[in-house]
Amino acid sequence: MATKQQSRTPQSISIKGSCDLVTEFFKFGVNQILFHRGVYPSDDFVMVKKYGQTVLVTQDLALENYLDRILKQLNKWLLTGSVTQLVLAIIARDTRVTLERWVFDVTVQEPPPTEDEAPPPTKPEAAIQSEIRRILKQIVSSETFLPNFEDPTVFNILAYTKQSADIPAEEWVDTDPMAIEAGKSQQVKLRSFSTDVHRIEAMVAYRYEE
Amino acid sequence: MSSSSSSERPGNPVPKTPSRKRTLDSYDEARSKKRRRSSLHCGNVDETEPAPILDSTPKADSRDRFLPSLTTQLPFFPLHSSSPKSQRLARRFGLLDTRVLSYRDEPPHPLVIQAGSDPTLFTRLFCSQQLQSRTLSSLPPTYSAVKHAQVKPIRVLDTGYMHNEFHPHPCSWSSRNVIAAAIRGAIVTHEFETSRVEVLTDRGFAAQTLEWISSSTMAVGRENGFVQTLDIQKDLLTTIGYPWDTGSIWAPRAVDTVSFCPEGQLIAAGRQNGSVAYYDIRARSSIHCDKERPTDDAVTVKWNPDGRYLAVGHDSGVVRCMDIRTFKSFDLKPPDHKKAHKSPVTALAWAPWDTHILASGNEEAQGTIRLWSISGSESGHSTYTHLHSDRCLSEITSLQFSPHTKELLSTHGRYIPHSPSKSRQSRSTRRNSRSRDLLIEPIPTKHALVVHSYPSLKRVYMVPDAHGDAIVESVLSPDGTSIMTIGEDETLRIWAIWGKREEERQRSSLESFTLR
Repeated sequence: MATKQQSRTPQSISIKGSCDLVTEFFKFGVNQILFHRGVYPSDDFVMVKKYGQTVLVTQDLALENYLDRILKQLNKWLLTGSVTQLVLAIIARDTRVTLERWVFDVTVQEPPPTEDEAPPPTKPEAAIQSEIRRILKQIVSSETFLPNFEDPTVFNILAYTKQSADIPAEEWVDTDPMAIEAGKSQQVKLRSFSTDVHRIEAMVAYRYEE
Repeated sequence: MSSSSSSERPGNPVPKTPSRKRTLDSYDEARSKKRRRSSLHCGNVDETEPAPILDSTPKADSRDRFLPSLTTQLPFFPLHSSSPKSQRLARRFGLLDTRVLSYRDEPPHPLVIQAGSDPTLFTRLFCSQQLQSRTLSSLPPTYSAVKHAQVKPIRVLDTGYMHNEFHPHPCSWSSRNVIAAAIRGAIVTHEFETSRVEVLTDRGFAAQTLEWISSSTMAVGRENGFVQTLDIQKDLLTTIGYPWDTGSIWAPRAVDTVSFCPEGQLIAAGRQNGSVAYYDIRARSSIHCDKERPTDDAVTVKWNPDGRYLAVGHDSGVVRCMDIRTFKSFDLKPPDHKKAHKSPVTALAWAPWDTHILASGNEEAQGTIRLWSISGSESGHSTYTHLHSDRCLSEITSLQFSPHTKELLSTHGRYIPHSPSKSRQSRSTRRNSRSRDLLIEPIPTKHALVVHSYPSLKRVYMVPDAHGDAIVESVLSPDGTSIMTIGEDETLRIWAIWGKREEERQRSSLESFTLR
């Protein structure tokens, strides 16, 4: 048992690093969306230097705590590889109609089978960061084609996990996916980024009625 | 082929192959080339290649987004939004192996600044609230109180020359919008609409506590142990309770608190000798007297809204609850304590929307709010559950449930640095120690009004330093939207805290239209 764990150590370290990186991306991504889509008033956000650019992060403690709790759990799921998708749904506060779904597909990349003991080539962090930067910029730019919200909105974060996933029953509950009806939905694929272990593909679907 | 496409890319934006251009209509040229190239790679997509940016054609996304690793082109099939039966089928065939989960709590609501209110004041308050919450627990979602509450009192009344010696429950607000307060023995009434103030000359011994029992009649508890009803229109004083009802003549027996139950026309009076007496105002006599806790000052008594239970808060911190049908009392205890509280229970409140829910708070330096659920079976045996508790950093002097929303308001007295010996002091010595100058640290809930959410008791809204000194008592207005507080800074202040219930408003707007 112990020897088995030891042999896996280098791999698991890189998994952990990758999970942290992905979690951090979600934190800034979600903040970016909440700010630019006006879910929370802009006064609540402060500028922070991250990924070589300024990003906006909420300073509303309640929201900060809320996101922290979610991201902590997400990190655990990422470590066990049990989360397949993360969705940030923006919902009209009064009618509870889903207006936008920001979908992030999480794929665990199988390392290519190597015959010799040589470690697989690692992706430089600078490259990953520049990919993340591009996604964040794309989130900002998607403001230009997304419809404006007339009414106040709230958000909800959904996690798609495998059946086998370990779920804290007190905190997470099964829910409906808050999908937008297929006929009224427009979908736009965003960029993706990948670490050595994970690949994140982003997409936004929005309600578009003529 | 790849060499030709790469040679095209740098210089020429104009396409060279017209036949291909016809098939690729809506993309700009650079992207169309990528697409073409990737199709020539026979599905072996380059990792570093960025995906197309604005690809709004539905055709491009025909791959199933719920099954991200699937490479074959499936028609879009919304697995999760389908019926339970098809979900079951899908699960059996292995199409649906994911669970959709969401976090239990709602995300915190953004603050909505109402058009009428002063935005600068509001944001300033919110900022200060946030600063305070850094040291306290987190401050979160908020509904009625934040929408409607105002940071300034809507009316301030001066209690003038009156000395700042108050008894725990000195005031009451009648259904006719008249506020009455027992201030240093005298009874002062204030008509809310006309702002007319009247001081009722006192006869006999000083009034300690009072409560309205109808639009013009109030029950008055006196220092000498008499319980009387006072009709202010007819100026008629009727004695219904005598000090000797409680049995002992020698113990101090001033009436500290009265509570009226409209169901049975009963008045409960808590006295300083620890007895709780029940009077029928029609018969003008005592029907029962509970003397099970001698010498333990009954500080607070409160009937529950349907008049079945009476909650009694004692000086020692004991909270008792009596079932009126059997006259049997039982003590409320949290699971790991012997008593409900460690110090005088000055605040008790029953929820108007759930007659089994009781909130209690104590006058300790670091007061605790506890929520209880009392349930009784038909056989007369009553049980209770301790629901929740929350510590505050100052004395809790009163609690009020909102009748319209699930929120609880607490008023706070001063903050006394915690020392174990002090918490065991009795009420009278504590009151004396107040007059001495204490080293008071700047603790946020000191002298504040705080609105908590039910049942989590999270702080929703706060008016810091509502009074210049400790708040003694609060009463709810007859319409349930305002709160009057009485403070040791010799003022009565009236605060708009809650709004009307949403359904009520909707119903009234519906009623204004008639259908033919």
